[in-house]
Amino acid sequence: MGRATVRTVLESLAVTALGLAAGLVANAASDNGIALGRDHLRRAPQTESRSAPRARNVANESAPAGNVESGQSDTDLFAFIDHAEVVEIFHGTGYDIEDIFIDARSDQPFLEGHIPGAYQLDHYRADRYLPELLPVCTSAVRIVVYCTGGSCEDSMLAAEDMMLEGVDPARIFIYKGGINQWRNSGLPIEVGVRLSGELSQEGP
Amino acid sequence: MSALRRLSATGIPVFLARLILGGLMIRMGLAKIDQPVEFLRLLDQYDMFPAGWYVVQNLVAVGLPWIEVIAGVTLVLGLFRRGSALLFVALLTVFTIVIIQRGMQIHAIEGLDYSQIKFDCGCGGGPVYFVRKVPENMALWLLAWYCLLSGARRFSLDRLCFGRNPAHQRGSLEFAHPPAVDAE
Repeated sequence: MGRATVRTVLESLAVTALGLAAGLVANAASDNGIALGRDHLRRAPQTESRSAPRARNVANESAPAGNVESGQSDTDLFAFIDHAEVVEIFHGTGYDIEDIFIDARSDQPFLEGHIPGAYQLDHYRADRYLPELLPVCTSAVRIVVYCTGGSCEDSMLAAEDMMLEGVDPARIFIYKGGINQWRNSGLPIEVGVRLSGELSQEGP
Repeated sequence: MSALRRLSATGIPVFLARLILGGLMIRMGLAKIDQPVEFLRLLDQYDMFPAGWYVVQNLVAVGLPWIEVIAGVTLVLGLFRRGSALLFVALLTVFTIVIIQRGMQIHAIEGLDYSQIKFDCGCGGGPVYFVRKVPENMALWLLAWYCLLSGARRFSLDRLCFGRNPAHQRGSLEFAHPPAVDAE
């Protein structure tokens, strides 16, 4: 191999190393950075459609992990919850004490508007949110997780994060309509950080 | 000496090739540089990494856009121009292969005609037609080879930093150019 070839290969490796180093520094400094040691794209578990159990006693019902209801497969860990039930929870007396909402989107869309009082759990930066969130989840009766709505997977991934941290999957419910359905129904939206008090109302 | 060879010897064609290739790679890198999550999702569609290799996949999502930008800048400036060109030859080879594989996979699964297949390849330009993206990549791949093999060093920082024609710059990679070119 000639000197020119060796030099070219070395140049190429140097540029690669420089790019990678810049990427790592930028990732560590950016709010959009991701945790390198986590498997962010593990397959989100499938979800069964069932009604959210009425509050109070649900916390004491310990469904065996991976088998929420008899006859379901191990991957059917989380239940869907429909829009009417979500609204009922929001207006119920137990909201924010026994029942909580978790917004699984990233910072920017969360700040632009979320369900009032909702906590945030961005799956791709879960380490930032879990320490504050886990004690709340442990005491909650129903945990409603949502993302944008439609085909977004973030709510499922966030739900799995919580389950892996020890939260009972029987208490976790996926609001598939997400913030889009909430917003389109004319329900209040909280802008800014959680409990900012700044509410807006859109939709019909 | 043919007219083409004389033109090539002026260094202008390779300079233009560097501008086009480097400029496009900078643009594509910048488009995804601060969106590692979205790029990670797009990378995942190619199923390139074995199970358990998520750290490598994360590193690619974080590092590749920066590598594209930095290699694009060095190529445009003509600093480490051959190393940058070699890097683009390698990257474009991989990109083109995985895009072809993905297109064939979509064709097999969805039964779509190749001309109808459109997806976001993660290149930085959003969803693109398969039959357009592959020739585009091939053209860039040829430009990268041209930048790699051309010996013309005008308009490059390599020449400024390392002299007009140092011995270590001569070698088997270069096209044969008349001695008068480098002497200018």
